[in-house]
Formats: sequence, C-alpha cells, structure tokens
Amino acid sequence: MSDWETVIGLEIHTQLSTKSKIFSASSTSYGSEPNKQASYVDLGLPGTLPVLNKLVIKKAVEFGLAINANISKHSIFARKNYFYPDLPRNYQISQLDFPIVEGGYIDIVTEENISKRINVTRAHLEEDAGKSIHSNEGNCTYIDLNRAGTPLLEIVSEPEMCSAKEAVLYMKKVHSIVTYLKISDGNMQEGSFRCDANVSIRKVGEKKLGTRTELKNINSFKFVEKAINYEVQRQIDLLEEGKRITQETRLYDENKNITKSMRSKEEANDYRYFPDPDLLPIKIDDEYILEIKKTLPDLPDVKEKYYKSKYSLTDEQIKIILSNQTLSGFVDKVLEISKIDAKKIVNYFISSIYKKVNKENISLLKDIITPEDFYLVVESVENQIVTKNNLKNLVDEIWENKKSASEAIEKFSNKNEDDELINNIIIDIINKNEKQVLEYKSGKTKILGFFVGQTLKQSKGSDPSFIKNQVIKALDAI
Amino acid sequence: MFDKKKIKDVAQLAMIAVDDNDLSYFSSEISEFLKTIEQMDAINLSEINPLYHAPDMSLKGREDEVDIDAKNDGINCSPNHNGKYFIVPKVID
Amino acid sequence: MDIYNKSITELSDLLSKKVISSLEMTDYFIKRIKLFDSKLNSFITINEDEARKQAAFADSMIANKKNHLLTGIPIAHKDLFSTKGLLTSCGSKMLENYIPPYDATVVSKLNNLGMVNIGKTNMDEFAMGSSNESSYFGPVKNPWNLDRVPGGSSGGSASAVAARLTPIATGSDTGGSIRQPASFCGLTGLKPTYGSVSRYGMIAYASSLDQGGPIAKSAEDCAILYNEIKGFDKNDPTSNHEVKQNNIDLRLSKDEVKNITIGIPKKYFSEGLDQNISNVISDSIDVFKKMGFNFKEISLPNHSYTIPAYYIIASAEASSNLSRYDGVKFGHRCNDPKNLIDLYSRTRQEGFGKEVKKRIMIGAYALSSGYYDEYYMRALKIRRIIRDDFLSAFNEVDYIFAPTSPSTAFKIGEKTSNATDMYLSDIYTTPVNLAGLPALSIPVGYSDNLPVGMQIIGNDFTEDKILEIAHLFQKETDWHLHVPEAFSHE
Repeated sequence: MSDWETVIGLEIHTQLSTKSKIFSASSTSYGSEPNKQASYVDLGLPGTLPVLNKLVIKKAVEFGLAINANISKHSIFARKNYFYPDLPRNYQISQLDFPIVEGGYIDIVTEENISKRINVTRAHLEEDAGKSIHSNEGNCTYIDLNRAGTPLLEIVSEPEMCSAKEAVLYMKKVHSIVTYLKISDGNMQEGSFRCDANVSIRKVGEKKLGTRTELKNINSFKFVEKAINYEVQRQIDLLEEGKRITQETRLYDENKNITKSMRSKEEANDYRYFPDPDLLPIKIDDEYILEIKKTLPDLPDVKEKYYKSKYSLTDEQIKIILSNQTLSGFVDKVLEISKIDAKKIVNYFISSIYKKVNKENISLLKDIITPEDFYLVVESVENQIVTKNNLKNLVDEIWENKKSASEAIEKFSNKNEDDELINNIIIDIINKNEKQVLEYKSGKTKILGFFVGQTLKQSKGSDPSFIKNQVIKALDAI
Repeated sequence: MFDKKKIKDVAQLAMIAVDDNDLSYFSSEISEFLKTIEQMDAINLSEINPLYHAPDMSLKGREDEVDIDAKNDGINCSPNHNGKYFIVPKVID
Repeated sequence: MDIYNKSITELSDLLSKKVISSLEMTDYFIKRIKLFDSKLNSFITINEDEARKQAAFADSMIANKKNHLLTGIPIAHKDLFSTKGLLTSCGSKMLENYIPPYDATVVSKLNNLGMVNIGKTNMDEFAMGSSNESSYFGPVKNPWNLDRVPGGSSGGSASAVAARLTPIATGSDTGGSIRQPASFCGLTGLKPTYGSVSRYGMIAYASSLDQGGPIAKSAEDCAILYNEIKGFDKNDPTSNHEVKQNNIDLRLSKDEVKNITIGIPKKYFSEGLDQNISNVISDSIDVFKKMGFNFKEISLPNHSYTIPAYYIIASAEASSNLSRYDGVKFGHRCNDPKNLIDLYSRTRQEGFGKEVKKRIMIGAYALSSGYYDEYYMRALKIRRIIRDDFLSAFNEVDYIFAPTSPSTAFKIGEKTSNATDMYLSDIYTTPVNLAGLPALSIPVGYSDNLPVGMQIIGNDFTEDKILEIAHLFQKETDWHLHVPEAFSHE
C-alpha cells in the first residue's frame, strides 16, 4: 500500500441559485410536477432560441474572485454535441476553449493541521440536462425535462489531491464558498451540488500519471470518501495482479460500497464542440469586475480568523455563524454595537435567534428583527431587567407579535410583569361587567368575589389577596 | 477518398442509419463535395481571425425573472408521451 | 378588376374604401390557389377556415378605423415560420405532422396588424436547396415555364407570388433562398442585414446566416412588409439593436442620385456568367446611368472561396441544429424502435431526405476531431476576408450591383444529379450571407423568355436605401409589373 500514491482531481457541478434557468425564463424550483417547468425553449421546439440569464455571469464572476482566479474578458458558449434523451436539443450548451473563470486555488487544512493549496484549472457555465427514470415493468425510460436548462457552474480542479480525505476537504471547502456567497444553495439531496472524481494511482516517485477512472455523480461527502477509497484499492489490487486499468466511467453503488463500470452514454464520443452560433461572446470589462468585488463579502476563511483574533469566538460558534452569510452579517452588526462580551452575546444569539431560523426566513432575518433590537433585548437580560428564561419570549414578541424591543422588554420585565398583566385583566373584566360594577358601587361588597374569581381564571396561580387589593383599587378609581 | 467506412463513422456521429445503397450514394457525393472545397487550401489564412457573426454584435442577456405566462404544454407535440413524461425505449446505463 | 395584380397600397385602398372586403379578397385569392396551384404545387397547406376568420376580424378593424396599411391583406408564409395551430412542415417528412404551439415573431407581428394568413408555402427541405426540388411534398414549378424550377429554397413563396396566388409572401435567405427564387420568378426579394428580422419561430437551418424577409411584386411592397417585420426581439439572442426604427418611406429623388456611386465587381461579370444575362444586366445599368447614378469598377478579390466556406459553415451549423429531430419530443418517429439508438437513427433515416442527410454528415465531419481546423475554422476565416472585401469596397462606392444568379431558371431535374453545379449557382448570393449584409434582387429583363434578376447590395442596415434605389428604377421600368401568361387572368 505504501508503494502507491493516489492522484485525485474533482469536477464539481453546482447549480446556481437563480430564479430562472440559464437560457429560458422557466423556474428552477425543485420538486415540481414532471414537465411542468419545461417551456418551449427548454424542449428545443423548432424555432426556439436560448436567451442568456445575466445573473449567471455575476455568480460565476463572484466565484472566480473568491478563489483568486482570472476572470475571462471574452468567454464563449460552445455546443457539446451528443445524443441522449435527457438532452432536449441533443447538444448541451457549455463552454470549452474560453471558460469564464480560469485558474485560482482552494486552500484546505488537513487533519494534521497542514495547509495545502489545491489549484483550480477552470470554472465554466453550462446548462443541466433533464432526468431519466427507468421503469422496470414498462421496459421504457421516462423523461422529465424540468431540470433541463438549470444553470450549472462546473468547477474543475487540478489532479492535486492525494487521498480521499483531501478530496472531501476540498469538496467541503468549495461547498462552503458557494453556499456562503449564495452562488448556490448547495443542497446535495436535491442535486444542487454534485461531484465527479477522477482517480488514478502510481508508484511513489513516478512522475507519469496512471490511467484514471472517472467516478460519476456522487452526492454526499461521505460517499465521495468511500467511493474513492474503494476505487483506489480496486486499482491497486488490479495492478498488483499484473492487470491493467481501463480508462472508463464508473458509478458508485452506495449499498454495496463498490464502484462498477458504466455503459457510458458518452463512450468514445466526439463531441464536435464549436461556438454556439445562437449566442454571442460574453464580454466582461474591468469596471464590471470591480463592481462585483465591492459587494463581495469576506470569505469564511478570512472571517474565521477575524472572529478568533478579535472576539475569541469558539470553533463551534464560528461554524454556526459562518454557515450562512445572513447569520454572520447579523452577528457582525450586533458585535459592532455590543458592549457585552462577544462570546456571551453570540451564545445568546445561538440559543434564541439561530434556533428559530429556518430555510424560509433566514434571508428575511434583518426585516424580522434588527441587530439593534436584539442587542437591546440581550442588554435587558444582562441588566436583570428581564430574566434569562424570558429571552426567547422577548424574541418571539418582536418576531411574531411585531412589537418593538422596548415594548417587549416592558411586557416581560420582572418589576412590572405580574402587576401590569393582572391590572389589564381586571380592567378588562370591569369593562365587560357593568352590572356587577354598579352592584359594587351601590354597596354590595360581596360582589368583589366575582371580580377576583374572574381575574384568577385568566391569571392562574396568582395571589388572590393581591388581586383583591388591585380590584378594589381599580373599582374605587371609577 | 471518403470511403464507406468513413461514411459509417460519420453517420454514427450524426445518428442516421444508412443502408448499403445510401452508403455508396453518400460516399460519392461527399467525396465530390470535399474535392470542390479543396480550393479553400489555396489561400494563406494564418494571420486571419475567424468571423462568427456579422455584423458585430454584443451579447444581450435578460434579467433573472420567471415568466409565469410561459406555456408548459409542449409535451403534447411528442409522438410518445403519457401526459406526464416523454417515453423512450429503456436506456441501460 | 384584376385584383390579382394589384399592389399592397392599391389593395389597401380598395379595402379602406369598402370597394371590397377582406373576406371577399381572401376568398378571391383562395379561389385562385385552388384553381391554379395544382400546376405549381407552391402551397403545402391552405389555411382556408382560419384565414376567413382572420379576414372577418380584419374587416371589423377596418370598420372601426383601427387599421393599418396591411390590415386585411392576404399573405402566405414560407413553411418554416412557426404558425400556432397550423402545420409547419419545413418541407420535410420529419415534420409532416408538426403543429407548433406558438407563432414565430414575424407571424405574430403581421397577425397583429390584421394580415390574413392564407397558407404555408412549399420549400426545399429544411431550407437546403436552390431549386425547391428536395421538398418531401414534391417539387414546385416556375409559373413562367412549368418545366422549370422556381428557385429555392423559398420556391413555393416565389411561385405563389409570381402566379399572383397571393399578393405577397415571406421567405428566408441563408445562401440566396429569397433572392434567387425572386430572380427566377421575376420578383423583388429582400434579404435584410443579419439580425434585422427576428429568427424566433423560424425553424433553423444555419443560425449565423438565416434571415427572414419579403418576396413581393415590387420594392414598394417589400418595404411595406419589411417595415413591420424588422426590429429587435428579446426572444432572439442574435437580434440587433442597431436596426433602424423608423419606417422606410422611399423618398429618394432623382436629384439625389448624382451623389450615389454604384460598384460593379470586375470578376462577377467575367467568369462563368451567361452572356445573355450579362447583357440584360448591362442594359439595366444603362437605365441607372441615365437616371444619374455613377458607376465604378470594384474588386472583391476573395470571391472564389465563397462557396466552400458557405457550405462548410452552413452544414456545420445545420448538423447541430437538426440533432433535435430524434422522434422523442416532436415530429416523425419510427415504428417499434428496438432501443434508443434504433429510435434515433431510424427516425432520422426515415424523416430526412437525401440532401439534408448529406449536409448533416458533411457538417458533422467538418466539426469532428481532427478536421475542425482544416474545415470549419478555415471557413470562418474566409468569411472574415469576404466581409472585409465588401467593407473595403464600401469605402469606394455606396452600393454594389451584381447578378443574382449565373443562369435563369434551369429545367427541373437538370442539376439534381450534379450537386456541385447546384451549389455553384449560389455564387453571387452566398457572399452576402457570409458578410451579413443586406441585398435586394429585382427583375431587370429576360433571357430566353425567362426572368433575369439583379442584386443591389448595401452596407449594414442600408435596407432603406437599397429599396429606394430599386423603387426609383421600378418607376422608370416595368419588368416588375409583368405577369406570367398562364396566370394573367382571373
């Protein structure tokens, strides 16, 4: 085993998070009824033409800048010609000779805490294909073209990873970049982030690359590692038996944990790439790149160092905050104005707001509760105006009941909590029971019991004698 | 000479079945054609850049918006569908 | 009343004055089609019922005074323009049952004005041809001589207009497919600057060359239609913002022509051009000279490389554009496919005719590994030098005159066995497509009783000017008013 070294290159396909497809105005949302998100353009009906979604260029440039790559000023869409039923026009619009992003690098930190730089060859734009569903009884294949035309960014690394673990680290890094920058939602179950691995082995010290196999369409970090490990061993076994490796495409079977040869749709295919005559070159100038650079947030790497050095946040905390740009943006604002210890306030954030956010409202966070309001709320806890247990209630009051921070604090403050609540109940009961009020006013003091009873119903567990005093106060005030 | 083997290869790329009669026909037609275009070789083009579109134009894209009015009934044009899916002979991966 | 020979303006006038209704006019032309088209085979589909509905609607537009010059006027569309709900076959078995669910931009623009779509015209299969002999629906005949071809690929449109079965028609031009049939049939046909007319809905042959345009009885009628079909379209990514927005008004006066210089390409009139045709064109040049135009000899030195470059580029693009015809989503599908490959390859074997298959294979070959530089790249470079030749010439002259075709209409079957001969007949039209320039073909006389056409070629976006020049000529001459004998009666 130690005679051999592994060489791995990864090709990652990530779906860009645009509302509409790359060349048509169909929706990209996941899970629709089959073929209900496939327009005439998506189907390639005779006479239809592709019109580029400008947002994909912006996202590709953002990615290129994030990995310190070269942004091509003049890039070209090319047709990749081959026949397959999930490819409506029997050509895929992709990029070959002039991709939008060239070069760049991704730094990973291995388990031994060593930093390693993996170079990126290129990243280019292309359209996704549809889906095939093979039936068993019907002896046919069903085609759903909803996914056809979804924008993809294909990110190709240099073959510089030496182990499955490194490959996973690289893949995770790329995943965090694209999700953090909101270039992609990175949802692997939905197929938004897919990985092909090119794997070969050679004797240690050998300069020449061995024959490689391509492991296709792996959708999880765990399976990438397993698939590569299996394949490496398979290749070693073959070579040690004196056999040869066939250059081919293989699929990973997650149930059996093996890779198997795929009768490829793309075997020995001449794709006859040529610039798509329906599309013109993408021209990007320095001004455009500069504009994007201005709005590009710092990447997780940079922010991690910042959070550690300036605020001494823990790894756990940082991981949570950096899982989403909206969260880190919010926390940054809070930390800017906070006079409370950063670690403490971040913990408050995690236990209250972070636990509340979900996919739907995370991007709306700033509109639901402001960082300033959150700080006020935490401050009130620190100053013991409100008990710690009420932190969640405070957040809910602002979030769901749309109250201001001061109103929420007022409501839950220790001093006034019970008093105000009970007084409100009493006034309410008085207003609704004029008859009884008149009876009391005419001298029937026994009717007090009625008011106390009604109040207790709404304020269970409160002190009845306290309530009685408050009732008398309120009735006498009329 | 664009022989029958070559025609078979190209027909495969183009995904068009050809029977033996066709093979002869296409072989002679295409060989003839390639002869006539040999004149392209006569000129030195090393300093010339290819022209893809004329007149020159810049790429016009569109904003990232979904067209809610776009029709999705194109499946009805298919010669073999079940209303939900397009149907093809089973593909073996 | 001789309605069949009236101009668009005259027809429009009759409608406005309620001398005749659009419904009556539509019925009139449909009757003519039924009477005469069996001789010509210029129509694939006659749209009778729908046309009558459109005509009725047009009549209400006219009654409410919400009409345009083109309202209520019948038009025939080449069968590669998608027409919603109406068969669009592209002259091919592959699409013989294809009913598009949408209209091409050109079609919907004209529908919106109240034009009446009376039918779809025959054409060379997938627009690949110069004689309309490759159509799955049979060859089209030339109304001037029924033994002869009308030209192609827009042969059906040209034949129908020449026989006055429709006042005007649309065509498409990739290598001469509007101009050459116009020339063979004594008509006026315009290939606009590339990017002027939307290609959305136009079934693609060669994406960087295809352009839609009018085939009409006069430059004036061409201008009227072109005004309405030109313009930027967001659904066409190769549509050009530079298209002039204002209407062409054909105002050029005889006083202004003394400032105009026309270039005559030396080589065009020497090599391979029939002497009679050369003489006819010379005579018409004399007419222009008499009007006051200046003439100068120019050179288009790389002219001889045009045909190979054109056919390589067009075939390469076509081979990819036609990959979508596979029996899965639309069009013909072979019976009982055994597997996927069988489905594809047999569907395409059955659905496409010989010429189309040939060009697809040439295109696939030209793009294939090892040949891409030798064929495709070289062709694109030649394209650049061809365009540069024209641009240099336009530094010296304002417009260029050229023959449209080296011959008049040839006999049906005469060139089908010799492809090279057929391809070479595009020698004067293809350079214009490669260069993306606008060109108009006008009738300028006869040779052996067959019409002769001449091209007026301009720089980018000068359609208005070339139409004006043609219009002036058509005020001095009457070639464009002649009707083929067999069809010159009601």
